[in-house]
Amino acid sequence: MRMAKESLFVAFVCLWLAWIGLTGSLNLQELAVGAIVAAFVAVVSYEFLFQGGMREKFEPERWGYALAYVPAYIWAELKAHASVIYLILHPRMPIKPGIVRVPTELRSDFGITGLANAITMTPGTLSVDVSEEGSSLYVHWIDVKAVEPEQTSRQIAWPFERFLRRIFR
Amino acid sequence: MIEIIAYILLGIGAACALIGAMGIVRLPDVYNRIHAQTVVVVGGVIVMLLGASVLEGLSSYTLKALIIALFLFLTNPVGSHAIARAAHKSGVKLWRRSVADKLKEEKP
Amino acid sequence: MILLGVLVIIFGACLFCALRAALGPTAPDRVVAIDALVSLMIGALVLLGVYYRAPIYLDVALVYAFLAFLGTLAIAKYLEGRGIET
Repeated sequence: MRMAKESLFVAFVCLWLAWIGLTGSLNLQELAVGAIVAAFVAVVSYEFLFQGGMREKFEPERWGYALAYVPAYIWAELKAHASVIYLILHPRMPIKPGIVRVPTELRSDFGITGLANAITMTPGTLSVDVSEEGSSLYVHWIDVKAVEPEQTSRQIAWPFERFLRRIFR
Repeated sequence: MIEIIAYILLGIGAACALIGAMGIVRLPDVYNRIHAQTVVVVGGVIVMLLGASVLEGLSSYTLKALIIALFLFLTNPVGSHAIARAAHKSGVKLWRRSVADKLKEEKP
Repeated sequence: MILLGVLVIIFGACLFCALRAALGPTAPDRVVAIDALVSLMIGALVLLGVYYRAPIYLDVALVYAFLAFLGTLAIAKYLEGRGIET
């Protein structure tokens, strides 16, 4: 019961902040209407938004790793963009596309979703499918350097998995 | 100074958008074109939105532009993944010179 | 001035995407091209909002982004159950 109240409150605050960002004014009437709407939506949907306790979501260690994830992610994006732009602009287009299997150690749903999204967001790699037991991703790679699962895991997933396995335990 | 940073970001975004669009035309099959589309969206449009919000300074305009950038950032990989999965399930073949298709071998 | 130059470059990129959407041998090709085109139009709308000093363009861009995402997911779901045709 106590847990439900906490997650209800967090959902309400997030939704209200989104409302304030979208209307872009601090008028008292707008704030009141936003509070009513956010309270209604939070009551309807907090069960789907947050599962499990609230305490463990605010551990400083996880937020520290999440902050350290940002520059590593931007660096990976820059490298991937440079390589894909080189491949596109090269007159003979030296691409070697193929679908490889990438095993992962992550088990939680959020962790696998985050890894698949990060892999898709970096150009050059695109997650096509997830195997049923959730232990590996099938990734389309524009420049296949290795087919063996250990090599693909080290080259594609490790830069993100290193942080994600600490953030989403 | 702030304006120069904003114009540099806008220039990078425009260049990435143009190169990505060329990639969408040049690359040989659906899966490769999705890589080029990611270059258009992430390197092009999101960087341009960041440049526009740096140019505008702190206001409600900036906040809304950043919300649009965050929304594109969260939804683009979901859409790309859905299209790639649908293409593979409905039987779109890989390019004839692809080196491997583990998905077809291991999950027919 | 620089904003107008950037808008012209975006227009050129839109032409490339429209070319692929017209050529695209399979349906997913067209969807990918049109998705890129919609994203470019969102960027163009935000820049027009800066150029004309009119914040209403941003609301249009936000709703456009929502609708494009829903449309992409719906088409993907439809293609998944159908099998390949042109």
